Amino acid sequence: MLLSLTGWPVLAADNGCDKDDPNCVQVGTWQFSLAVGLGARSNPVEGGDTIPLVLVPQFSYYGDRFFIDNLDFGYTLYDSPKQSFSLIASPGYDRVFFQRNDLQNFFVESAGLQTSLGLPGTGLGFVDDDLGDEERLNLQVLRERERRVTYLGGLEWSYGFDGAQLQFNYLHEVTGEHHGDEARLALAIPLYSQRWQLAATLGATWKSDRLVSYYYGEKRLYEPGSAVNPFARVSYTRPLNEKWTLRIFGHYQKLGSSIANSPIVEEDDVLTVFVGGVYSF
Amino acid sequence: MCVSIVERPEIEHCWDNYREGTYSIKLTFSSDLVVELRDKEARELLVSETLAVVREMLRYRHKRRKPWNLFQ
Repeated sequence: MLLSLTGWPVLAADNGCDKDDPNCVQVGTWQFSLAVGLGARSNPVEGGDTIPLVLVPQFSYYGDRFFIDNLDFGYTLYDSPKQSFSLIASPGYDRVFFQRNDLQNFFVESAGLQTSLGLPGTGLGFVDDDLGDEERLNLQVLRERERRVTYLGGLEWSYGFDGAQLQFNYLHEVTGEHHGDEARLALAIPLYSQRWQLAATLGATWKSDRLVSYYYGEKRLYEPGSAVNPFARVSYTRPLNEKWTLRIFGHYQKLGSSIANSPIVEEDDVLTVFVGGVYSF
Repeated sequence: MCVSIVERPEIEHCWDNYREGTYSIKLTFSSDLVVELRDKEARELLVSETLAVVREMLRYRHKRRKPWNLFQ
């Protein structure tokens, strides 16, 4: 009697994955890594503290379709060597500027890393002394109002070609706080890839007026429209051994005018840098 | 007759006065198993069959692509 075991296909198409592909992972396993180095997250919101990036944990889990990726989780509907399509849920990241203990300040993703260039604020010239009593009260509310943890749910589509990676997300806030929307588009381009890798990423995030208002606006004081935040990133990666990888990156983001003009925002662009290593457990 | 598994001495099932029978058991194993049928009294080996593991059932899938992730 012979027992023959065969693998189940993950989805309708053959996903083309095997254990030797660095872009693939064994189903049913956890991955943990820890970034160790020097970097900083600064806060474009007035009075925000700079947050050092010294130890940054990362974790993920991949089931047949379900996955967890730090604070994101999702369900993959289609996975092939060229493209994938998933339903995802992702935390609203702007809260990191208002709550130091937001988990995204510890499990850091690109969108949440900010540091100030020290440029002059570009608010609408809000000076407390020029405000009436009602406006001054509204400004105080804007400064002190709690921004709660929110999650956005929606679609994620990824497409790879010639080593480049294009990704598009469309998300809607599903935790009942502001019902805003967010769209993310990014293109990662390999510049050099041999023993070490150099890559550039260009992208932008669009935030709807409801989302922008929730974090940066207040009725009868500042009622913003939607915002588009473009960004550019350059990263250097060099595997040192089986466990350690050297990582250096710079990330620049321009804040859309409806965010930059908020009376509580002091900077209109951001820069993130990090130098260090990533240890994979 | 008794059926047993060489690699699992704790597993054995016998029949009295039967010429055929069915024994069902759920097992998890990662290497070949040898199943034996023996005469209950004399313990004479009547037949032996190998249950072979052909291939491990490990599945792989793509990691999530994240062009803007800074630490991957």
